[in-house]
Amino acid sequence: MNDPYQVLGVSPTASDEEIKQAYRALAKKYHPDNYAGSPLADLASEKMAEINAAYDKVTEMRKNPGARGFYGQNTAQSQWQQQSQWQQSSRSSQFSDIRRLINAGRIFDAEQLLDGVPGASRDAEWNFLKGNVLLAQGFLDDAVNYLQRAAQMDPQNFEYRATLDQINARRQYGYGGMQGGYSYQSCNSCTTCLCTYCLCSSCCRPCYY
Amino acid sequence: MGCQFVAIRSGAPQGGLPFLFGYIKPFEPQLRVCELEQYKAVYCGLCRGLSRSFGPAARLTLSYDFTFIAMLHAALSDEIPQFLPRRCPCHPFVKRTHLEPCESIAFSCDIAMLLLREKCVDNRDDSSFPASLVWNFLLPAATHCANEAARKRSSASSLAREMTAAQRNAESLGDAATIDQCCDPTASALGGILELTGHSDEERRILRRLGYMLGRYIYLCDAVDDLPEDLEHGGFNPLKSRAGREEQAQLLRQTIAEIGTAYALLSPKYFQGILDNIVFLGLPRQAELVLEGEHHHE
Repeated sequence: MNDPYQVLGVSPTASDEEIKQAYRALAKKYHPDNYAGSPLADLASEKMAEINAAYDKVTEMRKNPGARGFYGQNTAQSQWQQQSQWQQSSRSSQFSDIRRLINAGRIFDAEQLLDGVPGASRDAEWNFLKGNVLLAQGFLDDAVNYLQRAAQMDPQNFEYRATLDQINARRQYGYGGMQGGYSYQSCNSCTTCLCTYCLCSSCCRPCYY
Repeated sequence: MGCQFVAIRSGAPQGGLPFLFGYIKPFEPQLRVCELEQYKAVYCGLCRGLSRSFGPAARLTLSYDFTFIAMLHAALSDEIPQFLPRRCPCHPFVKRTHLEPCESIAFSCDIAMLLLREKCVDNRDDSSFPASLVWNFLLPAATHCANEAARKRSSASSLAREMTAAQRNAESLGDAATIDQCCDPTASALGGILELTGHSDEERRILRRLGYMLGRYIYLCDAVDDLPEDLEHGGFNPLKSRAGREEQAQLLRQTIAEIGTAYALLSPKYFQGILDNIVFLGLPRQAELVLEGEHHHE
């Protein structure tokens, strides 16, 4: 297993607060919501598990400095494990075999089965699955139509609505959805003051006279 | 920025293949000084690589898109990038830092030549009389270079060929073709090409998705860029039914979001700051410029 500090991208001398911040940034980056409909969702959840384990290990090591932390049942890990969207609602599915194919990454097989379903039995779930297959293939625009139809046909279904909302957030706000994705060091208020001061003092008399 | 070679721009009012334009660029104000230096060095290294492998005229095909491909390749490979200051014919007086010849540069140069030939073939068939002469004139040279490149990279060469055929199919559907169908040939080709640079199954899966979405992004940007001209001259453009700015912006944002999620799963060994900048800041910035209709003037 990798060095947990390396996984979190912080130095072993970082403060608890810095570690928490790094963990939160990574957790946001690899959050399952970001990967809704993506064929890479499994890799993202592996990464998430790795980050959780590393964070737990670091907290453990800092609580008992003598003990070598080990991976066990721990808070962050269990918190994230339940995120797989497919497990939640595949109980009463008439297309469970198709869901299994999509889960296994066999997108083309899933699509063939879906296309073989006669028009009369194409219900909300069929539209939802078709939308997911198209998302995985990269047909992002057509996918939205199917997901919308699924949400219209069965407005009570949380799964359909959640996926549609995530896709719409990406269309509206780009990477990272509504919370915004990538942050970079922009000027904080001190730098702004300093810059303003420099600018002002370059053309008129500095104010400390 | 670096050598000011303008990428070859088609005069064809048809849909066509959108390569060699430079929609994948960093957002310079947010690059560190050392990162900008490195980025320029890769750009210059690529320029030199093109000239060494395919003759001085090949320098004219240099573009930011291939700089990105070279950087991504270098970032994932085990080869340590070497930099040296050198003089070049474009800047004979001041030495500039160059990335030394390596597999990443060779790969990117070969791909550039393979796509150049497809571009020439496509434009020759699509253009009207005076412009088609120019492409006819360029084609033998491009074919020669592409054959050279195809000897080493047969799978990439067949991907490029398939792309042109599939593009023709999609465009022959006319207005019945959906946006996704039109993007697919370019996207699949770039997905397949980036997949070649992966070192493990996992990495290849990520790169395939990343490449697919990058290809889609390039195609969409090009379509947005060409839309006013195509509306005027009646050329093929999949965005004709989506002339609204917000609709186009949504398509681009969604594609950029997918690029970001795929890229986030990679672990670059080198150039991470620059690649992050390109993916998370550069792409949205370019998309904005394209939507404002300012990409041409930059």
